[in-house]
Amino acid sequence: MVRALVLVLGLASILGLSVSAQGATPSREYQVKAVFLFNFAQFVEWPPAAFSEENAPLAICVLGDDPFGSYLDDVVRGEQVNSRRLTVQRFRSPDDIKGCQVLFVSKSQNRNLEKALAAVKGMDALTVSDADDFAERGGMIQLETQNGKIRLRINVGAAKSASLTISSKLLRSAEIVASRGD
Amino acid sequence: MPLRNVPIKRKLMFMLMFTSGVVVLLTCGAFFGYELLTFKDRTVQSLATLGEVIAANSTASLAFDNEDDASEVLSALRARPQIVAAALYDRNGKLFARYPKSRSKNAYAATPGSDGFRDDGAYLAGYLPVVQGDNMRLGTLYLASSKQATYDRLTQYAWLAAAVMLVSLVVAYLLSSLVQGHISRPLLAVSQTAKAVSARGDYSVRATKTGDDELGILTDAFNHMLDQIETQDRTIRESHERLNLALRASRVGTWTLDLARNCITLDEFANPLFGFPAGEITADFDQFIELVHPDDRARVERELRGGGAAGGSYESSFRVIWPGGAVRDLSVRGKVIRGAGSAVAHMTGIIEDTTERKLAEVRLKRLLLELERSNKELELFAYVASHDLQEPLRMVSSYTQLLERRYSDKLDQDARDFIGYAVDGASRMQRLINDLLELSRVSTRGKPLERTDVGEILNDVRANLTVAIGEAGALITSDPLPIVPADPGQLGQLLQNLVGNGIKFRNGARPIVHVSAVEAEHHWEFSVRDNGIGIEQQYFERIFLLFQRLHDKGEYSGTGIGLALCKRIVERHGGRIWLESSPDKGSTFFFTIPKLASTGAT
Repeated sequence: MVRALVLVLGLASILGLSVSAQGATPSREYQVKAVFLFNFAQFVEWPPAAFSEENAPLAICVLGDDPFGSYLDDVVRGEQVNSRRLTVQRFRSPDDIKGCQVLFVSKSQNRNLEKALAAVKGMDALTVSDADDFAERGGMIQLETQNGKIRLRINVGAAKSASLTISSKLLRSAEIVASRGD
Repeated sequence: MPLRNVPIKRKLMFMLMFTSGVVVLLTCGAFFGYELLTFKDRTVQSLATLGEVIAANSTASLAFDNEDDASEVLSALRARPQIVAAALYDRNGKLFARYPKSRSKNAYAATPGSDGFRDDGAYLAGYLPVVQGDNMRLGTLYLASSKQATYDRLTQYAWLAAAVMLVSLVVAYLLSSLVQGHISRPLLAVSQTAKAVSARGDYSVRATKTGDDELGILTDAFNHMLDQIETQDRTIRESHERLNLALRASRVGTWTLDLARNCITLDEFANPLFGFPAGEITADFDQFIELVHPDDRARVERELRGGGAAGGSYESSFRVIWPGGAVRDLSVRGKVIRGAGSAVAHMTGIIEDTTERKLAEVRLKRLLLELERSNKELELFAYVASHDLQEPLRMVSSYTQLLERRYSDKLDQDARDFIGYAVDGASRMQRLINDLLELSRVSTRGKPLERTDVGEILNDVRANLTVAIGEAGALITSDPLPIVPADPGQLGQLLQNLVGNGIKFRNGARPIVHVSAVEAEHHWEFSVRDNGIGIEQQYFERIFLLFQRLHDKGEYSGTGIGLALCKRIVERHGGRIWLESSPDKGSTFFFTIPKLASTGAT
């Protein structure tokens, strides 16, 4: 009984099945994912049209429930990518989304994922999510947990249609997938 | 073999090879040194480049925590065998991936060191930052390169240098064997010629000249030297032949006595003088001395062993007994040759047979004695005869004069004339006898020669001739006259006769007689010059003979003994007398008196 409990707790901690409230420290998994979000900014090139102005900050947006808490803000604070500051924005509904270069779609948006993707189309935003089959469903980068490791699944076609250039280095360490039905 | 004894040919090749070897060695050494100095820098450079490539490829792996991908990137280093270890550390300094997999985790540093490469002895290792974009540090790359590669490379260089060296030496050997001939060939030619000369004594060979450089000059000088030697050799040969000819003709032999080795060498001419067949022999001194006559043996041995006279020359004579028993007189003359320390080393000289000469000498001496005796007898006879003749003559003369005085008036004119002829003849005979007596007295009553002032003698002569000089108004002059060894009385007679003749045989002009003397090496030559009637050359000999007169008694008085007496006196003093004259040009009588008294004086 005790043993089973320890195992469950262990698993919970590893998989980061967090039930923590917003603002609290996220699980280890989401810490890593937060860093990944920041890192994507360095391996992806946006067309100039993606920014409202030349020196506009690069915005990392979270749609839906924020699993990172303030951790993501900590990660990007003070950092610059290609002379652009980094900001973090949070949206509850896909309709609200605007001015995003990286959009993390929370699992909470699993059901209206298509709606969210449609909302950012034409915005040249890099869409990232840890939702199942995100890449196949038209998302660009899916964060998938395998054996306790986070692996990337990238839909290159989706990225291309958004005029984004993903570094070959990033592609090499990822699994390339295509949209379902393509 | 020491280098100095090695033939020049090989010496030259050695020098050329040594020089090129050193040059190649220095060149290789320089390259090797440069390689050694720059190799580390270049290795670090290439390691850094490699590291940057690896780091750039690992950024995504580090950024997205993909360990497998990182390992795969690192495993690309398999293509670089010199990379023995590599590792990636994440941005927190934790070991993220490593290469090779077989290497233990503990072999890597737990946390990365500071950036940059360093030499940690076995490896050349270092840390490089893994950066994405603008200074976005994602982690650190560790690379360790084996230095074995460096050593392998250097070993390769060493082998290469050795190979280059070997090839250079082979090429140098080939070239030097081609080149050395230019120098060694003329030298070898000269040295072979020198060998031929010394081995065969053939001075006619010549070295071949190959160029006009110093070796050519050497060859020329050598050949010129041979020319001279050849000439000298010929000269020596000829002079040797001449010497042999002279020795043969004069029957003189040569001998050499080696006192140190106690042996004597007799040449082909000396050997026959001891009664042996011709041919050179070297005999033991003790054997040689046995040949000497027993009476002379001890003396000769003493003389020869003593090294001859102290003065360095040796002269002696002794008798030898020939094998047949004949006794021969030998005369030797030699020279003492002293070696180091002035010890007598050996004596050398000539030897000749004097047996015949000695016999001739004895015969000559006997003849001379006989001659002297008969001469003396003759002179004595003349003296005695003329002396003893005077007495009966005086009787004839006095009684005829008595007859003339007492019976002159009783006799007729014819008888008186006859008596007059008799008286005249007797007195003439008286004078002749006196002259003869005087002539014989030159040698029988002569006085010893003494220092005589000829000037003083001439003064006496002037005094004796005062009357004649006064009558003729003659002038007697002279140069300064010397002092000579002479019999003063006879010298006076001599001068008085010559000066008197000068006055007597005058030709009407005032007679001038001049006496002078000229010094020669061994004698004085006197001359008495007059301006008289002179003498024809055909009478030059005759006038010195006894009782020879060229003129009538009435024309010039005299018995004709004067010049015979003069000749006798001059010859007694060891000189000679002669004249130069021509009719009406006057006469000059010359006579000589030796500076040293000669054997003629008795």
